[in-house]
Amino acid sequence: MASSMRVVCPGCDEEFLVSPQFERLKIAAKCPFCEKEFPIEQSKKIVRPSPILLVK
Amino acid sequence: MGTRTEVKDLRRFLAEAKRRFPEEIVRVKREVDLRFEISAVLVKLDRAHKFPVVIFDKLQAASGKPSAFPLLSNLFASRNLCALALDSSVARVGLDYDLRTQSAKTPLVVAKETAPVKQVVKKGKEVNLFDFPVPLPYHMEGGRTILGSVVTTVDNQAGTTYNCAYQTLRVLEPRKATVGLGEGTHNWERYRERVENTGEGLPVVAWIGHHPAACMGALTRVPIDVDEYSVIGGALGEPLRVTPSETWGEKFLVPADAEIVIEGIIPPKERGRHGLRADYARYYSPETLRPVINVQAITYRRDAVYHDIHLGGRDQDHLGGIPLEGSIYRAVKQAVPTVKNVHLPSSGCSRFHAYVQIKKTSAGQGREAIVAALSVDRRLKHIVVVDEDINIFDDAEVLWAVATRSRWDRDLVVVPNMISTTRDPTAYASSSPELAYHSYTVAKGGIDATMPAPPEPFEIRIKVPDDVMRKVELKDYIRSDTLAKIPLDA
Repeated sequence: MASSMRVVCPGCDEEFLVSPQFERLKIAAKCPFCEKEFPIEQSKKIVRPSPILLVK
Repeated sequence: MGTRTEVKDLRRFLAEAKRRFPEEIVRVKREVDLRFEISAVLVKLDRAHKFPVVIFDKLQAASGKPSAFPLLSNLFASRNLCALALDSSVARVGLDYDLRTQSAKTPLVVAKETAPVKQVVKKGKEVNLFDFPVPLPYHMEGGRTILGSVVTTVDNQAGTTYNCAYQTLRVLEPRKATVGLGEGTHNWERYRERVENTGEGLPVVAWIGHHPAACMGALTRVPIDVDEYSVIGGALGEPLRVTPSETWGEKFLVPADAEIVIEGIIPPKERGRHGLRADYARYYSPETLRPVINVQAITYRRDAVYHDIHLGGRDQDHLGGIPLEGSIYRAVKQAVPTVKNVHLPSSGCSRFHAYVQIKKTSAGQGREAIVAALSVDRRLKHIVVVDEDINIFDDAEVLWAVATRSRWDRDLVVVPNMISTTRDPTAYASSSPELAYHSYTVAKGGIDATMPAPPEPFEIRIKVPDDVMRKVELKDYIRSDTLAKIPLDA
């Protein structure tokens, strides 16, 4: 299973990984490409990890 | 068909290989003992991860006299040179082999006078198989075995359909050898049919040394009623030139551009000792009783090269493995249309393991690929299915995919009691010992080491940005002579 969330930076449109803990604790994501900080809910796309990987 | 220099044969290939990749052709001028020294040199090269074609110029023949023939080995050891032979690339050579052999080309008959393989003709008591520099490769070999022999038969009815197979000749006497004709092979079937219907022996030819594409073409799996000379022409990319044999004339045609041709008859019922010898699984095969061939004639080029196969090395791996890669690709493609490539690594003797690379577009494709691949060849035992980002020519990277993308309880496919080969030491015989060839079975399977298909998320692999990887050249950071001295990883 993937343990990371995937978000898309609203500044540069690059996709990167964020720990789900950040969403729970309401900590801003920081883009590693353009260094923009933003609340996770402002991400252009959010993909949350599945609790368990069942079928490949 | 054009001048002789345009014809595809072994020496034209060597000339082209030397021009394009001179570091991959090596000549050994020092006298070499046929007892084990050839193999010692080749094994040491293997261990140094170097796979050049090696030509040994100074040898003794099996008779003990200085050999009139140099010995060439490791012709298929470099995948790069195999790709050159098939006008392909290292990544695609198996796939291109498969495409080529599906475009058969009718052989071209040439007169004996123009056939290079007829430059020297020996018949009757002039024939002496011990004139060839046949090595003893490994410590428990039971005798001298000609390994580079492509044994060829023609059908017993119309006499126009040729079948070719790499089958060894164990030299017994100057004009007698046993032939590694296994029950169930096409050549065996022709032999059985001829003896049953006529009571006569079977005409057989063994040709040695040709363009590597022709040699690999002889390993194509086709039905018995398909002419393999035509398929070999497909592999070559041009019609195979053939010429009448000495013993049967136009009734049995032989490759005109081979280095050596041995013509003989396999008599009914006579058997001789064949084996014990090394095999591709890197173990010894025990001695068996096989049909004999009574040699009638030998013809060869004036400056013929004796082509030998480096048993248990990449030479033998690629010779059998590259033709198989294309067959597996074609079978998997029917089940998983987004298959990208297939590789049979030397770590599995290019027979037992297959790495199958797919572009995953839906769940279940990993298992589909495993099942499709396993049905192709009895020797295949383990299939590892990986994604497009995995380099299937790198064992370490494939194992990394297994380590990080698979689970034994969910991603393993096991099929018990599938037909296997006697060469697999773990295969178990059935309860019918008289079915010697077909009765070995073993559990086979595969591991799905792919990521889930999109849009299911998975972890993101680390990488250096592409533009930086393109920009950085090691030689700009580390001197070339220093770089060359850094030892390879063990």
